[in-house]
Amino acid sequence: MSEMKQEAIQRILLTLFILSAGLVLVPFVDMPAAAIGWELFAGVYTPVLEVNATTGAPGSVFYFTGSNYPPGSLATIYIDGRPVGTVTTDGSGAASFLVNTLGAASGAYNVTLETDINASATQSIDLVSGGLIVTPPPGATGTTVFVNGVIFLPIIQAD
Amino acid sequence: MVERFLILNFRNRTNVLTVKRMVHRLDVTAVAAFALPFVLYAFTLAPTLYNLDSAEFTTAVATNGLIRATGYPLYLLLGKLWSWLPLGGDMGYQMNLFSAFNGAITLLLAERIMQQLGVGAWARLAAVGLLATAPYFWALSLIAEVYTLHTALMAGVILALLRWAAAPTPLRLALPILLMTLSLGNHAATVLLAPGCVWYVLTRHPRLLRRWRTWAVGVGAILLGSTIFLLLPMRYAAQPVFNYAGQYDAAGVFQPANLQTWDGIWWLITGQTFAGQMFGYRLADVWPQAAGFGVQLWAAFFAIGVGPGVAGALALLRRDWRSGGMLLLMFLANAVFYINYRVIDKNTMFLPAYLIFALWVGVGYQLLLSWAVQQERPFPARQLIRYVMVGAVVLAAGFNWRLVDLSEDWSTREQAEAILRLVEPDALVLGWWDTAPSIQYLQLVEGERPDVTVINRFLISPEDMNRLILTEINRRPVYINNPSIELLQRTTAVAVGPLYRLEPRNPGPK
Repeated sequence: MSEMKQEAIQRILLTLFILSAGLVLVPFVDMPAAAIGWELFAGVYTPVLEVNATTGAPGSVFYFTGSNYPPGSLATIYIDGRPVGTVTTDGSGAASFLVNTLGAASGAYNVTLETDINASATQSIDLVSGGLIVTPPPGATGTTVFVNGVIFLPIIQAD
Repeated sequence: MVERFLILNFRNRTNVLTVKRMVHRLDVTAVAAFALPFVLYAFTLAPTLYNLDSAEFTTAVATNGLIRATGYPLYLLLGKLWSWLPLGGDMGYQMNLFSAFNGAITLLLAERIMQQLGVGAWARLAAVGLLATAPYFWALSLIAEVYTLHTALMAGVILALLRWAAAPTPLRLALPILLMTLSLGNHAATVLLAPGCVWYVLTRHPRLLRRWRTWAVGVGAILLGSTIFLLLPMRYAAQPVFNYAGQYDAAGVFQPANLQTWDGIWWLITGQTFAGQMFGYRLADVWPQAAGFGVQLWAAFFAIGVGPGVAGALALLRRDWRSGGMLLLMFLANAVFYINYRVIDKNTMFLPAYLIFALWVGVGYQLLLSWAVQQERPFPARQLIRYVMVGAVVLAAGFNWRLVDLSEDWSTREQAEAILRLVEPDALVLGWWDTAPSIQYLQLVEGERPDVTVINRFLISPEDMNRLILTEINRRPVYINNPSIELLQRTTAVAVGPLYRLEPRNPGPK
């Protein structure tokens, strides 16, 4: 094989390598899929608090997820304006917790998650006697807070 | 009669020749670099007012108002001139089109820069095409924003420096200096270009700096360019109805920053309100941000441009370390600064880095094409590379269209109109960027609901806002997005569209 041919082959191989260098990353990097709109960047100003169900019977356990909060911040959970616990938001500004309604009366309750005055969101749940018992989705974890101040007493077994 | 016919015939022939000469002189590549993206942007442009910063910029331009830090006086001035053109549509549409124009100008200038760097027409167009269809470059060419004007000025600075280097005179150096200073009046991030520019001037023709004329012309250019900042005190003096340079107090009275003092101007143009976000990550958190930038760059150049871009950067450094070093410094300064900038919309701020990378892609493509010259037989490598280059642009346009197309997006106007329909007379509305500026646009530009008072929560401290609400709630209807717990403890919130109406909480048992 002449020297010129060898060089030509080397150049073709190098050209192919350069052109395909970015393509080899395709299996490892996700192509952007979300539309680029103002909603993508408005989240910082509007934290969102979502719940897995908005209605359930007393005794239900509701699973709340908050997003678009300041990352790594201590957030307070309020039920009808009363502080009942705290969670820390993760690096993306999300946090989740469970609200146990054991012993709570029927009616509407406002659940709020707030890191500061400018980052606060509220979600309502309705407790209806005779309704279905709501349970958290599989794998749901997080701090559990109670609507009513429930105290668990130790069980002392008599000899 | 015959004489008249001959004269007319001569005139027509002369006209035809003139047109032919003009067409001949016309650089088709340059025309395509501007016109094709501009048409693409016009098709996908937001048809009316857009949200967040866009609404703020549009309202400020329309009302001769003032914007938050860093003031953006050049944008306000050029936007005003642009709005006088008979373009049709509402003010929102016109300012969106201004971004499209600036995006297309950026691409035209990028094409000219690549020509200066010895890149052939095919490679130039292919590289420009990838930048034009990069998701964020495309998206920011469709809404009123300062970024495409920033990249257009940046490309102008680079091109002016390259032309100065080819025929160095003090007067030619004045142009990039003037453009840099003017560009500071559009975006403070222009300072990130300074290391590259200084490097280039110092390494290319250092002797020129020993001449007093160079310094005199340079200082003159800076002084001339700085006059753009005079717009801020002038507008302040006119007491604009739309003013985001200041703060509301607890009584709901706006206290504008005094832009007729040096302290006031300096506070505004240096962006001190955003100083906390600069270099806002701990060292351990920087790596994911850098990786995120890498992914953005990869997606911007549709994967296929990555290899040629890196190859082009290396080739340019090897061939011409002065201009290669200038571009590398500009790229690194922008990338490093914004990787470390802790804001949610940082992905919109990497356009200067993308512009530099596109220039490298052009150089890289040209490298591949020149390698292929000797291999026409039996393997048509050159032709194949051209197909790949063009194919990448077509695929990127097709793939990214669905991500960026705003041609049917009326959401901002609809949301603002809905809020103004829902709120009661003389209401006080408190919202963020996604709520307040768009309502103010409808009020101040289109004359809707002047009875409603709108306050952007960015312009009032949380404590003052709560005090204001608790005072005003007994006097008039008060609406807010996402009330805090302190407010919820003292008021009742009733959802009204995207807002909550706050009502005094009645004392007594629940």
